[in-house]
Amino acid sequence: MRHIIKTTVIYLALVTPPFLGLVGIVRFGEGLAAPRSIGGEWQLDDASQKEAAGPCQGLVFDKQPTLKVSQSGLRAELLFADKARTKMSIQIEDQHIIGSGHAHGAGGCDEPLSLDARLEKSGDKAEIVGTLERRGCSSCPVAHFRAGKKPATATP
Amino acid sequence: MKFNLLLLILQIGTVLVAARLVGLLFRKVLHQPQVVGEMAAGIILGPSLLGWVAPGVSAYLFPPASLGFLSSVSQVGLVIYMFLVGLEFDTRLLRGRGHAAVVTSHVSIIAPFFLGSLVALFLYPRLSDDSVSFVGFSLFMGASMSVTAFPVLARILTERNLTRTRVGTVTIACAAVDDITAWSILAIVVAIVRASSMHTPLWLTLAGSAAYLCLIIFAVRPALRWLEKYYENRGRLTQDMVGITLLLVLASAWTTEWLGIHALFGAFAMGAVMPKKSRFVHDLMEKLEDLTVVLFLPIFFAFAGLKTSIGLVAGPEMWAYAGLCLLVAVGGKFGGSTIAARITGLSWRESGALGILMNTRGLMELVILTIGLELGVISPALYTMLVMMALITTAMTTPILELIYPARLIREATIEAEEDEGPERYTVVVPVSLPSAGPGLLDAARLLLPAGRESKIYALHLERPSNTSMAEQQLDAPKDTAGSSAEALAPLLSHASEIGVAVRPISFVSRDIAGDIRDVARVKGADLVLMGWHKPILGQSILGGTVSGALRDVSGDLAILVNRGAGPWKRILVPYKDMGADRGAIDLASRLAESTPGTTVTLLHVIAPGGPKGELSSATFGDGVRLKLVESDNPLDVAVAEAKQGYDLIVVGASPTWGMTPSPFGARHEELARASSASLLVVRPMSRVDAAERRATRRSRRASSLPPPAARAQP
Repeated sequence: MRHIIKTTVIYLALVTPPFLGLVGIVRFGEGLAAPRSIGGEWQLDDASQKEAAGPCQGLVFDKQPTLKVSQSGLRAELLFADKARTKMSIQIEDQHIIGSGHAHGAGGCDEPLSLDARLEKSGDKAEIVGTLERRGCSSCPVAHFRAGKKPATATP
Repeated sequence: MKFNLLLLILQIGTVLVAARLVGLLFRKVLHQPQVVGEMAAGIILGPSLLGWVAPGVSAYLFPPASLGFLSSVSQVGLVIYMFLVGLEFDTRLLRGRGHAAVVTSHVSIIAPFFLGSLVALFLYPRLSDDSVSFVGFSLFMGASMSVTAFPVLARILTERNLTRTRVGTVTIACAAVDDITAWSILAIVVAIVRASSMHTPLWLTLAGSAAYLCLIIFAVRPALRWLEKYYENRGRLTQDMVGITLLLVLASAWTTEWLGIHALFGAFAMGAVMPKKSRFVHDLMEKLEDLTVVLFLPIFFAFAGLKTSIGLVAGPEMWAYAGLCLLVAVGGKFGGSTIAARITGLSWRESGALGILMNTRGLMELVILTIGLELGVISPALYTMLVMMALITTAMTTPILELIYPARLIREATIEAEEDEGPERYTVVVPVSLPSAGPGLLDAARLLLPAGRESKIYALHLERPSNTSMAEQQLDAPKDTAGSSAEALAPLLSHASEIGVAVRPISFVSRDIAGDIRDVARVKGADLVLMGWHKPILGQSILGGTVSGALRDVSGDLAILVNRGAGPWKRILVPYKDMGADRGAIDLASRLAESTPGTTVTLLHVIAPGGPKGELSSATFGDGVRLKLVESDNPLDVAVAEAKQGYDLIVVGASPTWGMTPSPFGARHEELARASSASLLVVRPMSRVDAAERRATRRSRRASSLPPPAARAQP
């Protein structure tokens, strides 16, 4: 009997404090804000498809005018649906999205690509609106684009 | 992407080759469990290595659009594997292990869970996003930190012969409690996360899950006993029974998936409620295990590896987060378990061993992380960090366990010495590799016992780690020999009972066969180690492989029997050159002659031409010994010629004179063995220094009034 009481006391002493701490953490953590979610697939609208493919013909979207974003907190990776599978590293600062990457362009245009955009949300609808350009290339036009979030599909 | 069977076959083949090769490398070179190598193989095939070093090959072999098919195959395999994990859960493991196991296991869950949730406060704003609630994120972090890999842990316990120690029994009980608790917690976390994304009320998911659990515990479990009874009546597992079982697993997995917790919980739950009293579960495991572990699991590891991109952990900041995850995981699990075990009465060494064992996360962590990634609760970068944590915590177990609880201590606790039992007994240790060789070795051992002395014979079987499967681990097996080890010694033990010889069996898993033969011989105070020989897969050498290791490691008398025919040995040849190397051969041949009436021993004494007549004379030996003196500069030629004269057995010293040394490069290596079809007994006597030391040790032990340190339990 004494052994059982001793074990029970040890059990309560070891298990109760972390359990109560856990409850406190969950309560406190509910007030924390995480970075805006931009992960998933985004579809460029018709008007910006040609323009986004613009910066010196660096990006060709084929038949899939999509941007795929893999987000990890404040950082993300943006994958274009071009043949070279161009990637850009993204930084998220509240609603502001900035990115940089590299893609070979036509005519020896090799300046780095940069993205400057913002996340716009209204209700369930989310859009990324911004520009894509080749920094340092005066002849390459700045491409304006607008992409809407595609509904999530079942992940394999 | 259209289904491409050729690509899928290529992918599976590549995964299989990588898993077996890297697994073998980890097992043989790094002394890690095979599963650690297979996990590493998955990462090697992913973007972290193959995609980085050879992006073209990676894109050809694993195009992103094809991963759905690979994922489907791996998920089916995982469902069956989780069923096997559930089959291992046996409530009998908890019986008699006391309240200490419950306290330790619960603390080993709550401590890392708390720390995991605490670190979530820091990581949530940095590595998550607002599509995930903090509650879901923190609970998932807690669950992922608190998991223990029961299958890997069980394998490590078996491989290190810890299952019969106090640490082993408490650890297994804790891991079993951990397993069921962690999966229950994860089911709740998954339900919470899915409820928020699927807009299903949480209470509905939880109520449905509770109802389902009641159904399988109170309705399905009793019904399964009919299946077990049917098995007992038939005496074997039929294909129909396997079919029914798989159908039940799939139905259970489907139900839990439909309820909003994961399909894997259903598979695990069905395994856990299967009846465990007969060999039904063992046979079921044998049927399902090989294909699952060899084929499906590596596919899952590859799929997990393809999702792991170490490139995402870029920069010092991200590496600091990864380090923090590792620190919290180890601190919570290892620290929590160790402290709880110490408070509940284990020694610091035992508590540390339990802590590091509970810290093994292995495959179970990968399963949980894959669920988390699939649900979107953890981001790809955090997934990569936690996969690295799983790999490191699993890989660190064996070396740290060796540091805390060295194999030497475990072995000595298992194969302890015995108290002196009156007059000193002549002890023979007989290592048995092939079951069929056992009876012949026992017969030889019996003939080699010195007349007029009490004796003991130990039959020793050492199982290599790679040969132990989940089905063979039998953690609750009787305390003597278990599984395939029992099968290996069965013919010898059965022969021993037929001829009325007392033999004590010893068996355990061994990474270093020769070293363990040495240790058993030392601890048991063996006067003679008699081992057999069988043709290795590569080469012909008698004194190569394990025999070579034994010649190097075993300090006492060692004899290697190459048994080429049934006894009795009536005509025995002993080539003799000098007293150093051939003394042991003469001793053993004399004993053979004494124990079998009618035996003739020919002592072929080769001396240099014109030299002294030699140190032996017929008068030294009994009636059965015939001394044949030959003058020659080439003793081996003389011995080879004599060996062809129709002897039944040649007893020869392990010396270069007779070409009997482990080195295969010596001139006329083992020619004497090839020259005759007689059986061969190669004898390497104990060195005189070792013999003197041994006599001194025995004298001091007898003089001491204290019992020997390890006279605790009989294996």
